[in-house]
Amino acid sequence: MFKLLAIIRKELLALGRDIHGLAVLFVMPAVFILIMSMALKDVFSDESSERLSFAVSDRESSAISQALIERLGESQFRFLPELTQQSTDELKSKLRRGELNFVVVIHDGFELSQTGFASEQQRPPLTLLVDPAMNMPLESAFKGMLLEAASKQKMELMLLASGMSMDSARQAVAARAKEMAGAGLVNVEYLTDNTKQQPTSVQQSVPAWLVFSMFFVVIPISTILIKEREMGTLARLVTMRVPISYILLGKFVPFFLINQLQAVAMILVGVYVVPLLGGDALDLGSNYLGLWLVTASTSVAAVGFALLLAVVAKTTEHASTLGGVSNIIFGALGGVMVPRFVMPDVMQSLSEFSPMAWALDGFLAVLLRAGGLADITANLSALILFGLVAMGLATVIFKRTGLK
Amino acid sequence: MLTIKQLSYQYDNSSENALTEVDLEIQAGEIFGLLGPNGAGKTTLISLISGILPPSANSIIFNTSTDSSRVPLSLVPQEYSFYPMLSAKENLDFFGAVQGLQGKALKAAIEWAVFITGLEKQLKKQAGNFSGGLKRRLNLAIGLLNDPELLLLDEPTVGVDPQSRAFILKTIKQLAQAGKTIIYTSHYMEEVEYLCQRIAIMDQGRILLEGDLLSLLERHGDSAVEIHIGVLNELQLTQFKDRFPVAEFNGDVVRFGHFSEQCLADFFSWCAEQGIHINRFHYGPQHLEDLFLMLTKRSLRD
Repeated sequence: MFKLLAIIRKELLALGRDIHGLAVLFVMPAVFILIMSMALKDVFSDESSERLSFAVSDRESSAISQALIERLGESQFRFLPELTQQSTDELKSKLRRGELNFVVVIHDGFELSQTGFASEQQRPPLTLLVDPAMNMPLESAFKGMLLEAASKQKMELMLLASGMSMDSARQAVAARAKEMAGAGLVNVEYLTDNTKQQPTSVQQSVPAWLVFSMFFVVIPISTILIKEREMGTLARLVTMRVPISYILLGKFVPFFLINQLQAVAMILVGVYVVPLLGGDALDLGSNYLGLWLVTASTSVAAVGFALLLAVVAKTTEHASTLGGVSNIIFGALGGVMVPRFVMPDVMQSLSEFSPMAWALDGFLAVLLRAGGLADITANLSALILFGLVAMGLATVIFKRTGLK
Repeated sequence: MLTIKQLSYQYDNSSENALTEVDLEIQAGEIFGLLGPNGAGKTTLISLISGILPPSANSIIFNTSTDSSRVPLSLVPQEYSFYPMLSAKENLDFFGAVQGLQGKALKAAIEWAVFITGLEKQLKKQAGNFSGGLKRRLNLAIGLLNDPELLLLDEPTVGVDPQSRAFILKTIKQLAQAGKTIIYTSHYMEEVEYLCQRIAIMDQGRILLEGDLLSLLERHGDSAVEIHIGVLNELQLTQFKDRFPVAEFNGDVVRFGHFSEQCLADFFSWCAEQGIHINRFHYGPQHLEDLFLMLTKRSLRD
């Protein structure tokens, strides 16, 4: 134990004097958070929704379709009622010219569908035409609004048909409206927590870039280990009968602490610095234990993975390439750069293999959905298991080839 | 102190042996020189002795009076094997602590190592900013912390100035006089001749020659003549090469490795004819480097 403490102390001393290495680990994610929070501020805000316009092409012209149009008109998106009389083709042209962002087409049979009398083979009664230049998060937001409105209306109609009064039906539906509209939507992250509003960009950016930066410890860890190998200090430690597991554990503990400090620093940036620049403040919610558990298990995964790459890489150039590329792939798949909910199904399936996705889902569950421990247990388990397996492999490989 | 019997070693990624049936006997308290060109197998042998690589069973036997199967040994690698971001004191603290030294024992070990290597005034300075000579001394000091019985020194004077080299060589002699057993590898023949009582010359993973240095030189090397004459002009140089093909000329020294009395007489006559002044004359056993070249057929500094 004394030997292990000596190794940990040495690592902390050496790390404390590596100003450049620390700067990369702390400044890089902080800058990313600031830039991305500000850049995406409008993407996740209602203000941007208000700037998006839509029109409705009502081919059925029934009372039910008119009622839906009224509901859509109450949304945060800018409704252009004067275009409702135009043909679908005319509206498509406006869409192509960028004069509109969305067109909702209500087909014949919409009333039958809403009242539950439509045949199963009937085509979907609503078509959403989208500006090709529209970004995916806003498209998802509009789609969600449309489905919510239609679902609410359908449920109310069904309850009325069962003899419930209009007020009672509306109250019953209002209570479950978001849940109903969420069925089948990809944007499930926004819908399970009734207490929160749509997430701000900082709620997305802080956990995403924090996870990304935590995994970036692969670069300093592998660089240190390779330098130690090249300088012969590892060989020297082996001749001093220092166990390989101590050498690796001696790196794990300091970098685990570094990861925790990164988390604290990034959260402080989200809470205090982003608002100074005009962005929204990060809302930490109330599950601090869950937040720390996600941070800690992400550290286990990140440092374990870093140790594995460190023993596999033979040169610092190799380590930088291997570490950088694997982090970017994990990040891209894991929803750091592009939210997972806007990815196609295939990519979303692939993202299940990224530990950054497990970590990010854990953070989002705590920060956005007010998830409890039960909600993040799977994420925590996956991250810790991944980290332990990686460390086990690192130890085995290091024993076989560590000094070569 | 150390017996090596039929030691062979092959790396995983190689089809050839790095060491083949090496037999060596290292006596307690001696400085043993291990010589060989790059790739001869010196580092592999040192790695096996020090435990970096696993030797085959019973191929390396430490003759120790203690209960331990291994004597306390220490490797001083060719590289600067310490942490440049830390101070000399922090490095010594760390390498002492990982060997289980604590408190007064650690303090005493550091004081002794620092005294031996003359690092008293450098302890607080960051090791990465040391000169080559100071780095070598810190490298050696770390190797002394566990008060080793066997010290493995791998090229301990590479890249240092003459003053530091002299200091390190003197320190090594003192350590041997204090009872330490030292295995010393170097490319510098004059260092080995100065320090070592016995040597082994290795090449291609085998021991080519082992024994007492002076005896080996007398037994295996013919005597040679070296005549210091100064610079020859082009015409003289051409004549020299024509008339004395067995001799070597390296700029100012003529060397006869194999010679006859007649050959030498002819050379002195030619010098007299040409007005070439003879500055110095040496006759005696060949140097270690000659012996090495004869055995390995290549330069030691390949």
